[in-house]
Amino acid sequence: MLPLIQREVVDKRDWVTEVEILDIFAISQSVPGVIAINSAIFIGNRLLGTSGAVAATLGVVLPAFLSIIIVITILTGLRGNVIVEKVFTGIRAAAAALILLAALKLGKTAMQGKIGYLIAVIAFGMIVIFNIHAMWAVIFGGATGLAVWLINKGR
Amino acid sequence: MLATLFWVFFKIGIFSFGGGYAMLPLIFKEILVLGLMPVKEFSDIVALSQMTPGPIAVNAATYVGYKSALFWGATVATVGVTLPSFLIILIIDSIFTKFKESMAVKAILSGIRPATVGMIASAVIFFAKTSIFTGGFSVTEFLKEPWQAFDPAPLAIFTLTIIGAVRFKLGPIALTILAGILGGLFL
Repeated sequence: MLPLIQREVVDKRDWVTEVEILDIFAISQSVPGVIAINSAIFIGNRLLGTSGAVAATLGVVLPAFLSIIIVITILTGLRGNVIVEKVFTGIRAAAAALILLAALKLGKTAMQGKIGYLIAVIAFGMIVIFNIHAMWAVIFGGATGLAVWLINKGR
Repeated sequence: MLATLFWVFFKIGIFSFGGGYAMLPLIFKEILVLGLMPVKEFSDIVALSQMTPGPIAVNAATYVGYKSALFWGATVATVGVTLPSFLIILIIDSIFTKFKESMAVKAILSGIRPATVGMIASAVIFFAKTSIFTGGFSVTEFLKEPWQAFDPAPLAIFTLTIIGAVRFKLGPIALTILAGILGGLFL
């Protein structure tokens, strides 16, 4: 989705500069939420302030919102059908594979050094083995990152 | 109900570093706690979201909201999950340069990033539980007899999907359709 945003707002419409958009993408990855939506909020805010941000958010969210409501309407009629259930078991297996690949891809860039691997493994264990709410994994990761930095700075 | 939905998705929105996939374990947990729907049903919609436009996080919020309280449920959940990003970005944009260069922020994010990798990996287990694992999944059982834990036919689809993505560079839409066809024919 990011190349699409870049082409539209930088190349076609000249709303933000090439450098600005890279900064916007970088920070959009660092704050909670989906990168595409975050970037839209940033760009809307830069152009027109809060109302621009609201308009951009609605624009980027609406297609997803509407397409899911359509999917629900279609699915409700198909539920309980034996073949459909089999198709879905296949699709879920594919989703498991696609998400695993996403985790591996992100892992390559996100894990720097032994501490990174340790944090990832502990976060995984917290959720899967100990059934802890995933927000604690985020808090744990952030706190560890901060602690490591403070310790290194103190040296 | 609407207030609960809003609050739950607002909370999810606050902790959803690392985008849509990292949000999945948060949503799974809330669905289980609130008993909103069977985990399997939610997995289905996320799996389908690989093919529909838009971020998976929005798709998931819309779906859970709609199933719980129809149109207004969908609206409230979607607004709830987006609002934290919205507020945070409006604040950060006013201190953009400071935020970008803050060492403390960088340090915190360097810890959160690997945590989100763990979160995404945990989402794989949730999906595996309703597809490639037979029955429930427990770590102790898995360690005792790893091969007993797998259902061979879905495991084959799982493996083929990985091969299709890595070896043949197929996109998620094509892979999801292929997996659905294979599932319908052979499971």
